[in-house]
This record gives sequence, C-alpha cells and structure tokens, in this order.
Amino acid sequence: MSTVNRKTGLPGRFQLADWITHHQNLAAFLALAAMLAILPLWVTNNYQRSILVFIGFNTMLTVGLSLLMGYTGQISLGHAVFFGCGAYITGLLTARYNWSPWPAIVAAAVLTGLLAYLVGVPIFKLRGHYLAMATLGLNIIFETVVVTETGWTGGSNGLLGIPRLSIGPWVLKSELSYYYVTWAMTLAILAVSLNIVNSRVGRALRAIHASELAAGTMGVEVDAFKLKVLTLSAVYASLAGSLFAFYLQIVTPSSFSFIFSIELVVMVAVGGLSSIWGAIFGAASVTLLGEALRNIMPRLVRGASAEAELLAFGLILVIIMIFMPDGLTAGVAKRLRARRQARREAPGRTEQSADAMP
Amino acid sequence: MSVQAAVAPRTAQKSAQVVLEARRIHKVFGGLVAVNNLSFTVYEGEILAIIGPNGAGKTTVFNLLTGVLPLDGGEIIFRGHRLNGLPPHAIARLGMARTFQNVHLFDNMTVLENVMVGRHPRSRYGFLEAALRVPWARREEQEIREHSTACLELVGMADLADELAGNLPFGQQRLVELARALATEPACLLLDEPASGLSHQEVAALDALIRRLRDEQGITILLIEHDMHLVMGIADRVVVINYGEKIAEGTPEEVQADERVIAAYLGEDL
Ligand SMILES: Nc1ncnc2c1ncn2[C@@H]1O[C@H](COP(=O)(O)OP(=O)(O)OP(=O)(O)O)[C@@H](O)[C@H]1O
Ligand SMILES: [Mg+2]
Repeated sequence: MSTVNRKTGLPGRFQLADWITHHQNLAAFLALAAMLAILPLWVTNNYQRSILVFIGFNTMLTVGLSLLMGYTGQISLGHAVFFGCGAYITGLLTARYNWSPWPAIVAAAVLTGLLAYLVGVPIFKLRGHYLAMATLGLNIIFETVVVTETGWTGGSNGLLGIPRLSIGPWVLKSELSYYYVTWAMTLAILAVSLNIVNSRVGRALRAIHASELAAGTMGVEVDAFKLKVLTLSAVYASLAGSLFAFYLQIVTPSSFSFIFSIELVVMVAVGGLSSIWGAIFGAASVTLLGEALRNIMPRLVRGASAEAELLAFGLILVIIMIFMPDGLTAGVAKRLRARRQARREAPGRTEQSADAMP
Repeated sequence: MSVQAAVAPRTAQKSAQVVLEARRIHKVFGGLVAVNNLSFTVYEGEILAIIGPNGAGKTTVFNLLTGVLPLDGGEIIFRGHRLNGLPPHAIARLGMARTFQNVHLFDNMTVLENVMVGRHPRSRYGFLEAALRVPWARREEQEIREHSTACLELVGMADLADELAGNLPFGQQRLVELARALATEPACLLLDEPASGLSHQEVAALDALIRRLRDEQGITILLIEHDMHLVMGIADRVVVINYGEKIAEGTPEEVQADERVIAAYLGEDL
C-alpha cells in the first residue's frame, strides 16, 4: 500500500511525479491563456480577429467531439446539429421572446443536452456504430425542420434580429470583445475537459473504447458513461452555438450543414483522436485551411464553392485515416514518448499520462 | 477474513457460508445447448475448479455468472442477491471479478491505468467532481492509485506500471488482468484458464499466488483450468462438466476416480 519508490527506496515518488505532471500542464494551460490574451496586439485586423473567434467556436466543438470519439470511441456525424440547436434556441429566445442572453444560453445548453440524451438512450442499448447512423439522420431532420418551420426559424433566409451579448450593463459590440468572451469560454471548456480525461471518468471512457466487455465486468457503467459524454459534448456544442448566434446576430441553416459535421470530424482526426490539446490544433489548422481554400479555390477552379471545400476535406480525411489512423498529431506524440523513454534511466522520470490540470 | 479462509476449505466446507449458487442455469446458442440445467454451490473461502473438455461450456458459465450473457433459464444467487438480468457492472459492484480466457486488457492504457480501472466500482466521483477537481475526488484518486499499485505489487508487476499494456508479452498481460480484477476487491474471483500460455515457473508462481489470495485475503476462487496438475493440487472441490451438464462433483481424488469423468477425458491424462 505504500508509495515507496521501488528503485530508489525514497518515499513519495508518486506525489512528486504527480506534482511535476500537474504543473507541466498548468504551465501549458497558462501559457496558452497568456498567449491568447496578448494575441490581439498583433492581430489587429477585424477579419483576422474573426477567424480567431471561429477557431474558438471550433475548438469548443472539437474538444467535445474528441471526448466522445477519440476517448470513448463513439462516432458522431451530427455535431453541427447540436451546434445549430444552441444557436437557434438562443436566437429564438432572445430575438422572439426577449429573453436576456445568459438565461437563453443556459436554456439552449439544457435543451440541446436533453436532445443528445434522448437520442443516446435508445442508441446505446444497441451494440455497434449506430450512433454514427443516428446522428447522420439528425442532420437531415434538423435541416428539414429549420427550412420548413419558417415561422420560427426564418427558413433559409435565417433567423434575424438576435441582440448583442451583454455582460451586466456592458453590451459586447467589438470584434475584440467577442474574441475574449469566446476564448474565455473555450479555456473553461478546455480546463474542465483536461480534468475529466485525467480522472476516474477519463479512464472509464478509454476503457470503454478499448473493450466494452472488460470495462463492464470491471464495474464501469458503460451505457451511462456513453450517454453522459455524448450529452456533455452536445452541451459544449450548444455553448459554442449560443456565442455564434450573438456574434453574427443572424443564424442561417447553411452554417449547420452536414458538411460542417464532417469538417468537425476532420478537425478531431487532424488533432489526434484522443488528445485534448490536439483538438485545439486540429480546430485551428482546419479552420485556417478552410479559410485559405475559400480564398484560393475560386481562383483555381471557376465557380468552385462548398462542393470544392467538401472535396478537399474529404481528401484530407481519407489521407489521414489511411496513413495516420490515430490522427495527425499522434505521430508527433509518439516521437515525444520515444524521447521520454530514452530518458527513462534518469531519476525522477514522470509518468505517461500527459494532460492534467490541478 | 483469514479466519473464515482457514475454516472453509475441504473439511469444514459444509458449515461454511454459501457465496454463490447457480440453480439450474441454462444457455442455448441457436440450437446448441451450451449450459444445460447446471447447478452448483460455491462456499466462502474455497477454491472450486470447473473442468471439462474443450467446448464443454465452462467459459459460458462464467459469462452467465458475470452478466456478460443473459440466462435462458435458472437463477444465480450471489451473496444474497439474485443476479438474473443485472448488467455486468452491477454484478462487479456486488463483488464478482473475472479474468478472460483470451485476455481483454485496455491496450491503449498503461499497466497501472488498467488496474486503476479495476478500482472503478470501489470509487464514486463522477463527471462533475472530476471536472472541478474537488478535494474529495483528489483524495479518492490518491486512494485509487495507491490501492492499484499495491495490487500490481501483489502480482509482481509494479516495475512495469508505466508500460503500455498492449506491449507486454502474453504471460504478463495475464498477471495485469489478475491485478485489475483484484483491484475491484472481489469476494469471488473467476479465473478462466489463468495458466494457459505460462511457463513451468510461471505456473508455480500462479499456484502460490492463488493460494495467497484465498488464505490472506479470503477471496473465494472459481478456477477454469486445463492444467490438471495445477487443478488437482490447488482445488478444494472440482465440478466436471461435459456438453453443458455436470457429470461429477467432489474432491480432486473423488473426481479423478469417477468413471464418467474418465470417459469424458478418454485418452487424456488426468
Ligand atoms: N457467444 C457464443 N455464440 C455462439 N456459440 C457460442 C458462444 N459462446 C460459446 N459458444 C459455443 O458454446 C459451446 C461452449 O463454449 P465455451 O466457450 O463455454 O466452452 P469452454 O468449455 O470454455 O471451452 P474451452 O475449454 O475450449 O475454452 C461451444 O460449442 C461454443 O462454440
Ligand atoms: Mg473456455
């Protein structure tokens, strides 16, 4: 029962290793936060700032999807729908029913989480990749409802008249203010998610991914955990959708298309399936790439539009899945691990688990 | 615990408490009757071996006991609870743990993390407590880590705690799986051919370990094993099944002398 180091005979090796690991991750987190805080000093143009805001939205979505897909092994092809639910519910409540922003954000998160839960309950009773199919169907239902229920949603013209987000008496108007609010929320989601993956819960999720049979017989409530992580990822998506609605003040169905669901899967794959840090990288690189494609493709191929973009993302996904099934960043992680292994002989080596927040 | 362990086996077993009771359990796969109205009783602190030829239905019995497969008939009573219809995780929480004939480790996790999953039913903190890292969750995490390390030490695998489980040779994977099962603090431990694929020395170490688990921790053990030397040396009682039916039950000596058992194992060395 003791934590005496078997090699050196010194007590408390594990506490020390914990201390180092936790502080490494805290340091990484603080470095990211600090970098984000001062980034607008260099990124001064509004177009570039808006890209940073979108990277924030996509990071929230990708982190949730990484918990669900990368950690738990449950594929969702419908995360654009949860994002869209957050945006539309928030838009409706504030634009049509004059709710104030924050209660609307909470209501959207609760309702979207409930939707995910209700989808999950019957699906997780079945074995196999039925979640992928069900969420695929969700895209179609969502699009149909949004386009036909014009009285509520404004149809394909979009839902207009969404007010600005406000914090107390302070109404957010500038690009910069949305940048800070979006990234504050993103960092909160990041911290919470890092804590979850480095806990009893995170181990249970990875155990489910590796072997549902073994996880169940070891006492892991397999279905309940799948359901909870699906719901959590939907809540993240809803929060992103709420901010998105306030940011653009209009929501249109095209923002939540099936194409975007796939784009999110690409972000997770690029980021390395089971890595919270990788999710930021995936969200940032794919968002930037998408932006570049939008600018370049029409010049290369006349009349190229959404289809060309989808084609490009499809290709990227195929290539990654063929050559790097664990995701793009997994290769880098593997190299780092190999280097750490080389340092194994050195005393005070840290343990494998990477990301944790104190 | 060790007091009961001392009184339970062989001589005093009938006065010992019943831990597990299978009453006419039945399982059919398509047209194949894999387990046929099988009944047996397991007493606290004993080592009960289940033997039988290949395909006799031994692993299926474990799958029924642990809730991995639903029963087609009969009932299972474990420490006063009726297990019929309970999901595997609920049965694990009641104190039943197992290893698998073909090893099911979490390959993507380290050895220590694998064993820490075994602490799952003996810890409580969930999503919210993990997300906020509340103090009692951190204390529980500490307990999980310490207990898991102790379980690894017990099977002699603590040195490899940080290795990826999938990278270990088969014999060591079996030990990790055993440590993971022990981490759940089982009252009853089901071992499915733990000696298969092990060397002579490793089997001897396993033999000693199983005895220690029973004697020192009072764990009741159900053992499926083809290694007759191990079985006849270690088991207090043996249940022999063939075609899903019980054909004999008794001490190793009684079973070895049984004509039906000899017939079932015709040509094999008992
Ligand atoms: N999930 C299943 N679906 C269909 N048939 C099965 C299933 N599991 C086991 N069987 C069949 O049931 C019979 C009993 O299998 P079981 O695995 O319980 O035997 P066993 O006694 O463990 O054999 P072994 O000593 O080879 O491990 C076999 O004929 C097997 O093919
Ligand atoms: Mg078997």
